[in-house]
Amino acid sequence: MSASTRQSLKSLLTINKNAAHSVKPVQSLVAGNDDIAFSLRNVNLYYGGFQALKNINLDIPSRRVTAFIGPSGCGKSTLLRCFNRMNDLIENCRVEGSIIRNGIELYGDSVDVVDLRTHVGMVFQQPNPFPKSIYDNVAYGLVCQGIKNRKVLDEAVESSLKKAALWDEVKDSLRRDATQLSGGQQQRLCIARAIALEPDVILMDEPTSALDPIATARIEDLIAQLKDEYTIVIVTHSMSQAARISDKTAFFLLGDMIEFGPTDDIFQNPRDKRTEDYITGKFG
Amino acid sequence: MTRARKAKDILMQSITWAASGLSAWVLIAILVFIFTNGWKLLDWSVLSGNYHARNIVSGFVKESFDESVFTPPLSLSAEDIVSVKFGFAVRDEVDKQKNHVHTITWVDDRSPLREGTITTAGAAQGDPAPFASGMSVNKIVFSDADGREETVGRLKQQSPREWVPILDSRAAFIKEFHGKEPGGGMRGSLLATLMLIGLSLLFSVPVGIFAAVYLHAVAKQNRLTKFIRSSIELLAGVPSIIFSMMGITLIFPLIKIFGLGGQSIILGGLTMAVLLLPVLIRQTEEALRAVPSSYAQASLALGATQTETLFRVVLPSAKNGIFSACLLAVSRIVGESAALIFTMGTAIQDFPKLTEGSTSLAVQIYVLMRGENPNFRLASAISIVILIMILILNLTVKIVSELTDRKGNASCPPRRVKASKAS
Repeated sequence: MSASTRQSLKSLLTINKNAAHSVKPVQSLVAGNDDIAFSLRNVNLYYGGFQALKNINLDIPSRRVTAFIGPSGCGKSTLLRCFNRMNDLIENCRVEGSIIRNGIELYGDSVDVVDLRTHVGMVFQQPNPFPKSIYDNVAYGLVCQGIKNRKVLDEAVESSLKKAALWDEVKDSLRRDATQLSGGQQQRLCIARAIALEPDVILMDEPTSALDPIATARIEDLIAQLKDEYTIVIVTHSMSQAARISDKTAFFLLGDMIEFGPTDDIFQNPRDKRTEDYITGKFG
Repeated sequence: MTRARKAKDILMQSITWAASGLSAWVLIAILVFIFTNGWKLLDWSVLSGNYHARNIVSGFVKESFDESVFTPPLSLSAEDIVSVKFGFAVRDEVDKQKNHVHTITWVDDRSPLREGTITTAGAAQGDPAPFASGMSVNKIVFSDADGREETVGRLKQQSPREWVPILDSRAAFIKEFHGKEPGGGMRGSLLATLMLIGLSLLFSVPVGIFAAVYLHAVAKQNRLTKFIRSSIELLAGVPSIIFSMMGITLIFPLIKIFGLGGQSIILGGLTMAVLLLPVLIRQTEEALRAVPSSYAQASLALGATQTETLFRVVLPSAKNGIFSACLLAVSRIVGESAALIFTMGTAIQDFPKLTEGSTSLAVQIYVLMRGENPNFRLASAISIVILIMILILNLTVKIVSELTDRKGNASCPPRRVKASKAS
């Protein structure tokens, strides 16, 4: 578990008043542009005095798979957590710069974080289903939104599980405790749980690092299916995974984004020496 | 190794052995003492019986009885003195309160003594008077064939061996029977204890859970929270007799507003609730802390608010721990005496009421043992009941926590060997 996710529940649940976001509203050229899911300009992020992200400029394409690669501690998970503002939960975390989504400044005062997170789903490194039934796990987000209609929930659960390629395995045991599923099934359940809210974006923070190769392959197949409908941003430690599934790749090093471009270009003729060194295994 | 070193080793080893053996020995000694004193006494009649023996005076309207000869069952021993004319048997023995009594050991279904009615003034006057095994005989007033009245029984300093033959040979019919129902039971205290458990938990569990949730997840970590937390720690260390004093000085005037005066189970329950709070808050907070933060993260990432996350995911995940905390609270109630002495009083009641004073099992032990003539046997029998209750509670806590652990393991797939840093 990475250090950023290792904070106690305490800090997660405490409203972080210190997280002041000094936002410079930027009339982004890409506002309203359907092809760009997130447009980042001059994003800096600090944990107290430590600068975790340095002046990031990046456009995440819609309905594509974008992979973030880089050695541990390079800031790729931190950046991922900016997109659904999970960093708000970390004390002393401060974001500067501009992240535009659908023409709206993500860190603006008018943004309802709870609402944002229903549009930007997230899948974590460790499969983390709730200790509830499979059905209740998938329906959780909708129930929180106040949907009580049994029929609506039933349909949402079924279609989400189908999209996550889990329906055939669990359709007869929806009342089973989700924690009894295998690791790979649990992770697909977590994807189904995010899909149930009909988000535009799914963030994946090393979704296969806790899984065996077969389960990993199934998740990768699933990502390939989902990318027609969803914008997927995936953080991965596996360069072969990034090469297999992503359309665009960003390489990070010590808080800097070194290189960003089509995956094939990054892996076949990297422009930066450091990118080349990393993907050829000289460090990292 | 020199002999001196060897000797020192052996000495130190035997000291550690003796020290650890001591605690086991003390436990065994307590169990042996309690069980030898109380086990023989402990039966259903002690568990379900009245503590206070009720005096029965029954009168008989019939002028004469049908002449019949009753045959006693073969199970009676030589100590049971049988009245073949009236169909009962008595035995000279020492009862649970250590009094000399003439206990009835057998009553025939057709015994004329069953037909009496209660003659003492009161609500029960005229009701059929009980005459059954287990009651004791104080005296019997009868008339002989010539109409002369005579009294026999324990109050005339006669043993059963003396008075039963007199009754059989001279009595034409019986006018009055003075007896006593058996006492020395613990039903009243048992019921009062159950009421106390219910009341205390009713008051303390909701407050305890919400306080723990506040401290764990809602409160900001500032000086006020620190102060509240250390107050709770201190409260846990306050001797329970002081809680008892607080009960009569603070809670008593409070419930007096609602028309409840004097010592009562309600007052005791409220006092116990306050006493249990620190334990409950601490244990619940511990249970909340054990909930993996990944649950909360997942919930928040699905667009749940922080309150929803707390009440829909975190609290349900901690329910086993909270349940264990409640069970530990129950065992605390069962074992508590000092906090109840002032608030519930020390008068043993056979029919406890919420609004009246009563004793819990532990307080009944105190009452039994404080006089000049302590009743070790009954006190030990009650101790056995308390120990069994606590044993069951502790075992349940253990089973629940083991179940939680097993479930916890199932929910955590094997960790990646190489843990990565923040990326």
